[in-house]
Amino acid sequence: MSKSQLNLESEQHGESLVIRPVGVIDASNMDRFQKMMEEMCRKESPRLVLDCHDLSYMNSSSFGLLFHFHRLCESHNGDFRICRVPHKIDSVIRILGLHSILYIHKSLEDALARQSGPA
Amino acid sequence: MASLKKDNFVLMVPGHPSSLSVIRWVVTRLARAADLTPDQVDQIEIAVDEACTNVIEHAYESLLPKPPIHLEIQTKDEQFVVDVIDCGQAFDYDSFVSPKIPEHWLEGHERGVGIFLIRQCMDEVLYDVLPDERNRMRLVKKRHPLPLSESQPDPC
Repeated sequence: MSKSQLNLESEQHGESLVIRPVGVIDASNMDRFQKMMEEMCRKESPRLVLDCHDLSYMNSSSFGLLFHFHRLCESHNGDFRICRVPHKIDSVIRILGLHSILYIHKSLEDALARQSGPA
Repeated sequence: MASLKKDNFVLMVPGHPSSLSVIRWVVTRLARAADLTPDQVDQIEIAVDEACTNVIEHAYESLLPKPPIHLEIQTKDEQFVVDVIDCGQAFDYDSFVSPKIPEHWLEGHERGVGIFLIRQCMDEVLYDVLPDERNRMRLVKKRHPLPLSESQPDPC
């Protein structure tokens, strides 16, 4: 057995960096996900959009990381948004109350449009 | 998968994070075979993953080599039941207080919602220490059988 499959793809859209995790995030790969995301959150004025369309599973600790990334980006004068969240993951976001404290968008276009203003 | 509907399954996996994907794979397939709704299957997947993650990260934290995790999955007439059994450090489940949401996050906590999530996802959660001193978390989801007209015909 090996770590659960997770690839992080990224693409620059203007000043925003779109990050697409593909696969699952669980206890076997969460540290790697955290490390890679933190590197991007710590850049100067980061504008990050986490596109969750190809994410099929997240464990509870990785949901906690979303707010951690949100705070980290804010502390570096940046902005962190989430978009295209699958129903299964969105249900947990709501159970955990994160929908009221994170910027979550239905489409990538909407997330990028909201991010195009001053961070 | 019809033959899985009333059977009991036992699964023994290494107490390591790399087992989690296998556990989720098996449990979700058995839950689907038990005619649970897609949302119920998702909730069971989350609850079982969280329960097993707790065993790996807490009950087995100081143990080397890591003991296995034992899962028993039963499809009953009215319930889908998953027992997660470990032989590590027992957890004081009864004194666990669910966090206030979303204050938990705003106060700076980044973890500690696993048990809360398990309780939210399942209809019943029981935790006890078995006579052989292993710990068992029992996760129960009520089944709502499909009306007869939507059920698969019995080939026998």
